[in-house]
Amino acid sequence: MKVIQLHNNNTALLKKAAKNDREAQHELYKVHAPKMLSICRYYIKDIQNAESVMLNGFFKAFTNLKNFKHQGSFEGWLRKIMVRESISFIRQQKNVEFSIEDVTIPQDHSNNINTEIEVAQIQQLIDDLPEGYKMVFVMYAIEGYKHFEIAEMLNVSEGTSKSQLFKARQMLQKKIKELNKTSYGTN
Amino acid sequence: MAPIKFEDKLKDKLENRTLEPSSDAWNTLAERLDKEDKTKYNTRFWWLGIAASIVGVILITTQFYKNTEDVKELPIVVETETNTQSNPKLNTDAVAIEDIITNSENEKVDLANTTEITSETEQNTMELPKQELKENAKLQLKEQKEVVASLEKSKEDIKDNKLVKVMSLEDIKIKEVVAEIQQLSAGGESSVTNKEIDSLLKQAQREILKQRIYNETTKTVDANALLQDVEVELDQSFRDKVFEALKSSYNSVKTAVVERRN
Repeated sequence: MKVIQLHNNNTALLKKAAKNDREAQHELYKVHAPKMLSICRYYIKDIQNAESVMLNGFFKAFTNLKNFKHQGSFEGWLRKIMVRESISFIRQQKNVEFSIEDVTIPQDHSNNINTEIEVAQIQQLIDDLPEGYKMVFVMYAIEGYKHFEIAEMLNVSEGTSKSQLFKARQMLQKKIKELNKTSYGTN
Repeated sequence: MAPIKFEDKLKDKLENRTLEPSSDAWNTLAERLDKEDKTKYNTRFWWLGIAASIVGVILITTQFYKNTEDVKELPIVVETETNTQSNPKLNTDAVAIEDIITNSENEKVDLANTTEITSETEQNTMELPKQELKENAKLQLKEQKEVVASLEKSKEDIKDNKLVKVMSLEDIKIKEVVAEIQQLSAGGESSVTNKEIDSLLKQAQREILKQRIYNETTKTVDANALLQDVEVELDQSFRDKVFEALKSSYNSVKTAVVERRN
């Protein structure tokens, strides 16, 4: 019962926001902004830039809220907007290069690594990745996009997406191992 | 520690993360949204303005085209008017000519009558032989015919030479009347009577009035002159009626008095 009521409230709020009701928009912003800023931060190292990208995303979402068809969740729709905004921001800032190398990708990519690391450390590891690796890794491993979706969004081939992901993983494993070594060393 | 998928752990940890935006982030977003609303409103206003101006332009052009169509039609109307105007001119000319001819014919008749009268008076007073009288009458008729012919000729000449423009109508009429009287008097003093002169003068007056009312050069009818003429006619008719009434009443009184005496 509570879920239905929440859904009804959410749709009412969205309808109000679509009619440029600033309070409703503010409510939606307050609910979703922290999560959306976190998503933008996956891709963008600088928090201020991430925030401005998030605001751009919200602006586009609110101005195009009439086009939202209520088929999926608003959060999912907003998330997609944020990812696209982040990618376009990175592309505007730098010329992102995707190395086109034929890499034999192993099928099982599970790793038995000690993952007792903090979120900040994870973010640091991701931030240190080259832009191409980072985008593909975040989109695949965290956002849950498929390779063909990534290829379409980044305007690259599926093979490139896969190879970028493999390289990103290799780099991350290496870095985590180094991190573990130093942490163990310190301890 | 059980080995777990590294990526899943990363995902879980990152998914649970939330980052609080700066305090004035919403204000900047709200400002941007307000600006967008204004621009939308402005664009809407502009579109409305453009639509209104388009409608206005369409209306004006339609009005303009309507007017131009009217203007285009006007020349046709004017042409017809010119035709109608030219026709009356012709008609009036024709009427004038006809009038002249009929008048001259009337004159002929009048003159014939007068010649008869004069011949009768001559018979009574001078007691001339019948043959002489006949000859005289014939001569007079001939002369009158010549006079009429000459009149017609002179009128035509005047018309042809467009002397009308140079000379005033009144002068022409005076000259015509004088010429007629002179020609009549040339036939014999006794033949020219006051009646004839009056009839000639009346004719001339009528023609002058006609000319005053209808100006051939400008092809216009003088409204004031026409009104005056009508008023005069009305006055005259009224006066005549009064006189007739008085006359009839006087006659009835007269007969009554006579009968009473008897």
